[in-house]
Amino acid sequence: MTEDASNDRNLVRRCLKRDEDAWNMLIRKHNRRVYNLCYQFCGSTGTAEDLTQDVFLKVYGALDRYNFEMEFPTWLMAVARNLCIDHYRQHKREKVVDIEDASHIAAPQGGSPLAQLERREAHHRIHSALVKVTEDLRMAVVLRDIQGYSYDEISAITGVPIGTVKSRINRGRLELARVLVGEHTAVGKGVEA
Amino acid sequence: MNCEQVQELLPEYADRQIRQTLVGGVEEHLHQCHSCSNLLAVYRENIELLATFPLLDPPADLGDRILERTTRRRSVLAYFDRYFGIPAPVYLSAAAALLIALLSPAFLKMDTEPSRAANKYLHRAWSYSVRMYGRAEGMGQEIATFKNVLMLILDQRVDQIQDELENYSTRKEKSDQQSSQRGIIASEGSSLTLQGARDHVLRES
Repeated sequence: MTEDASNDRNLVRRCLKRDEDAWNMLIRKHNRRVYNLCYQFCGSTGTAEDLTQDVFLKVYGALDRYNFEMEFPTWLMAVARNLCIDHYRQHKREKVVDIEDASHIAAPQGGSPLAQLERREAHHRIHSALVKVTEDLRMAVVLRDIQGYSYDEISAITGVPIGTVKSRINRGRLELARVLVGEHTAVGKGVEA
Repeated sequence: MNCEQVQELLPEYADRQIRQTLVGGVEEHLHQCHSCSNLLAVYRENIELLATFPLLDPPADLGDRILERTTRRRSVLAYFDRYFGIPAPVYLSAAAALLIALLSPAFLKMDTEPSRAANKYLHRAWSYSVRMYGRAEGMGQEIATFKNVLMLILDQRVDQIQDELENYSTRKEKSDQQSSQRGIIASEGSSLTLQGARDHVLRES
């Protein structure tokens, strides 16, 4: 067990004894990770804020059911994943998901200003395409390719076997590439016409 | 191999996880098919772009908002815990036990100041409940009719719905007449008892 994981478990134990400082420390330590997962999945900072709050609210209410054999961040991300997918399924008929302007996102470090701008636009383009990918496949791609989780960790977060995880990642990447190629082709055709 | 077969194999091909016997067929198709080779290029570029996807900093006050939302929920329950070191289940159980003891017949029969106070409040609570029940009973007629009509609508029995509504109108008229009679008696400043009022209504009708 790593020192960090042990530290998280100690904080959870203190939370169970109504130690507000420990809960505050857990929030400060993990809210960025949860917020980014929500943002990467749904593409809106406002929704990501609401979902992050809901995730911690749910986790707080379920702390007494926490399985100490599981790593706390894995459990936290499992809750976040479920809430993100539930939220998407509830709202997907209401509006077309529109990715926010990427101008508020810090430009990647290194390279000329032009290269940085191009990179930022590429990220915006790929994020816009990502939110069009089926929710389970999209979550698999976000967890693997953006968040960098291992197959084992994704299996624990999503609650599906490793074989299914690999298959979802592959299918998600392929669907993403198809969306981008399709959009590129459509733009090309529009110009030709 | 056709485009569909090759595209299904692209993820494994890009990760070099593909079976050696299939590599030749995939590469031959990719040399000839611009659309599949373009898809592979985008596929590879995406993985590189996603790996460098920038992380956002959450709003500075997000942590405070979460803390406020989560701790506010239990603020009342936590009050005793925080200031007296008594967990919520303990004081809630103690309060329940005290309430049961105060309402026990043995306690209420005692001739002590707390027993008399408990008796007084118990009687008040009882009178209030009876008054509330009386008011609710007045609405019972409407509720029963609504329920009957709803059931008949579900059964699509139109004739019976009409009968039910006519019965309701008749009952309502009768009830209104009785109420107005009671009102007249009250306005006359009569000191009739309830039994007397009933007799009066019967005589009048």
